[in-house]
Amino acid sequence: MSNMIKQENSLLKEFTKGIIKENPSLIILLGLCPTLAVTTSIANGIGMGIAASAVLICSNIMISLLKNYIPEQVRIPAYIVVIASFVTIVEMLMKAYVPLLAKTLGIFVPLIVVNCIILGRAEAFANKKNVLESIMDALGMGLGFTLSLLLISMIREIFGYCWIDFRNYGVKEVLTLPVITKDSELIIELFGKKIEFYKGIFVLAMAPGAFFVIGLILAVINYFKSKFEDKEIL
Amino acid sequence: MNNKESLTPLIISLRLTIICFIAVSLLISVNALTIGKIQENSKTEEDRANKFLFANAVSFSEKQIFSSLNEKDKKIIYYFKAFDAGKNTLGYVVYSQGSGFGGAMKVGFSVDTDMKIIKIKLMDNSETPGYGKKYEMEENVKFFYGSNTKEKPLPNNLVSLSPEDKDTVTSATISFKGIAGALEKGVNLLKNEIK
Repeated sequence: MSNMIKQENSLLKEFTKGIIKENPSLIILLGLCPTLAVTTSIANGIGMGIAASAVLICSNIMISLLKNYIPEQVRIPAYIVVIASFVTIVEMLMKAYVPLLAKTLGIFVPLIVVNCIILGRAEAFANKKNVLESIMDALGMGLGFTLSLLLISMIREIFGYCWIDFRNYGVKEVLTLPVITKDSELIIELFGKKIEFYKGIFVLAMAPGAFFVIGLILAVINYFKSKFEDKEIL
Repeated sequence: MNNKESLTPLIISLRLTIICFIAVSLLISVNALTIGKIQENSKTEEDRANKFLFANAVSFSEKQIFSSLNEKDKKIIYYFKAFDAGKNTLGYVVYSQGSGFGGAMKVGFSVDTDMKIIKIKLMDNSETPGYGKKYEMEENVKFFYGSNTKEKPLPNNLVSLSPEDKDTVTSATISFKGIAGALEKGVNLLKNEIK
């Protein structure tokens, strides 16, 4: 009985670690290329997160199952074959069922093959652990990656464009934020004063904006991390 | 020679081959499952693109091939005739190919019977989001509209653009040149074909 509880706790630990403690994008800083490039809209962020997570889960399962069969000397090429196959499958499914999203994500879908998160989890985790643990690890890491993409894309799309665009998923209209006035200016009332913004901080939606946003998020994370560590020392 | 040493590379190759074989079988199955839907999507997209590129046209001809192209290019570069209600030819919709920053790009465009560019649509491409991908939006390719005449030649380099259009093209010049190249190629092929 206690063994079962221990195993359950260990599985839960494998799942939760990827969400915050070992978040692949924001803590370990892996897979930054797609993180920076596709987070121009929430739809792209979610799409990329789900696609990468699907590949991560399938490749972790397969590599964990084949870990005793894959020769040690050629494990990296074998992993690449497995990962590339799943990426191609995801790409074909996306082209068939969400063609607009596949078109928008473009080259970044095939590039999941060389995503460090997927290869890293295969090498560091799936080839050492059993299938169940590998699934939990992939689910946690995938969710952590998707959430970090969602956070960055939310900041970039909402503050950059002042809208939320889900047209790639078949939604007909762009959702314009209700805080925007007739003149498309974002007005926030703070301490009795009206603060007016330009209709969008457009630089956030551009490539440098991705660096600004991720830099600010990392600064906040590091601030809380150092506070937490200081408390532990005391 | 040690037996184990001589066997190891063979076993390694065999195991890798088996992994590759399973992967290929899986890909073939998924491809068989999705190819119909992908082709259907591509056809729908082309129909929609034809209507966008030639809004005045009532109907379009079947896909026409350029006889001067080789078999491989015939599948990529082709055109449709656009007709009015009386089946008179209003112009042509051409699908051409150019080379962008992310490789090959499919460019659809319409021309009238004098070869003047009417509209452009950047279709399948692997351009970078935020850079080359911006040409998928109509407002970023409008400077091509009405070109390919004596008064307004086809813009194919930065010098031929106005300062405002240069701002649009900045940061995505390779994609711009790829589109211009595709237009030039398509127009030349069409001119030779309908001579």
